Amino acid sequence: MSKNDDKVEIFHRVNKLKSKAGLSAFAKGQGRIQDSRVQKAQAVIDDKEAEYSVEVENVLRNLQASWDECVGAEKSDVRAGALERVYNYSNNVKDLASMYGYDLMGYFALSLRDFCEKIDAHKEEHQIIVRAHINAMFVTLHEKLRSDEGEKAKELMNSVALAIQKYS
Amino acid sequence: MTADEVLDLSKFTVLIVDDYSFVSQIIAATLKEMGIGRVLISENGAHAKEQIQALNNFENGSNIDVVIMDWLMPVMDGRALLQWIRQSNKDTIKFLPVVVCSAYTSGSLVSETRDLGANEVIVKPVSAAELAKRIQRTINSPRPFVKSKSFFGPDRRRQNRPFDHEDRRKARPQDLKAHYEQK
Repeated sequence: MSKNDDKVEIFHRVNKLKSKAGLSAFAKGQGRIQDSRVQKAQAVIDDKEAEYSVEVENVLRNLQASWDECVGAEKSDVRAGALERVYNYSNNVKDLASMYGYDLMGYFALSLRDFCEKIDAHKEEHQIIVRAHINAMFVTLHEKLRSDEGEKAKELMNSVALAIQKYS
Repeated sequence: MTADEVLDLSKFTVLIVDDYSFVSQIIAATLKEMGIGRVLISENGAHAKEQIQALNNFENGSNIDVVIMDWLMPVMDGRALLQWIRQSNKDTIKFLPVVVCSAYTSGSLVSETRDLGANEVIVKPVSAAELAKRIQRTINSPRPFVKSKSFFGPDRRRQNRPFDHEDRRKARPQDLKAHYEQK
């Protein structure tokens, strides 16, 4: 390494955020957000969970429609656009499921999102794998399965794993 | 100041960058309940870039103070946005605290975000307590920024504890140059 490569600069900045929060920038103590505010904020997150099922159902329907479009598309750019939407919707479902601790839904959504990176929509084998994911997610939603433990969850996970093993 | 002093966040501006509006709206409402004065939302990195350029072009009271971003987003993802922020030639942009908020965060993603200069990583599910903790840490204990040939971002050594293994840092004391910002 040359001398210039070795050079390391360290920037010690005045803590302007602390001043902006009404404290001295040079104070040694720690400021905190009021507990009552944190509790109210948590209530916002908890209350929104009531909308989880409706929201996931909507996203899954959009995902299904995008996949149907992807399979039916003759032009490669249309197919690529639809597949990108399938990827994004899977990612959305994964984010929402993980936000509320719906592990099984998150598992399938993540698996589908990752599979999207190697999909050839014209291959029937790949279509079977995607359909297995979508079906598993709808079952997970409608049967209100939360954990990735339990007999039903394991059964669904096995069915998707088998589809991947057999057709990929 | 006592250890219990309450932070007044009413003058703070936080930018949330997430393509999924259902999630970004929840985080926005959560931050507002915590007392954050202004919460902005961008649906992707490209839109966030425009907002940051508009509000952090020069230092003033309405700068964005903290960016909370998702990692995987269409158009411009979190990786590209974080790189753009850290490569900016404006102090009001390149030193911005960035909190990456992502689901199923793997060890490799945590390393990647850290090596690209993120200040904090939150793994979903997000709780208000976790969010509050990261905001408090960003305000209370900002780390100095380090610039080397291959890195620009907050010092990746969060703790200053004895380390009895081989030191992989290449810089010798004479290679270090410290900059202290004047008040």
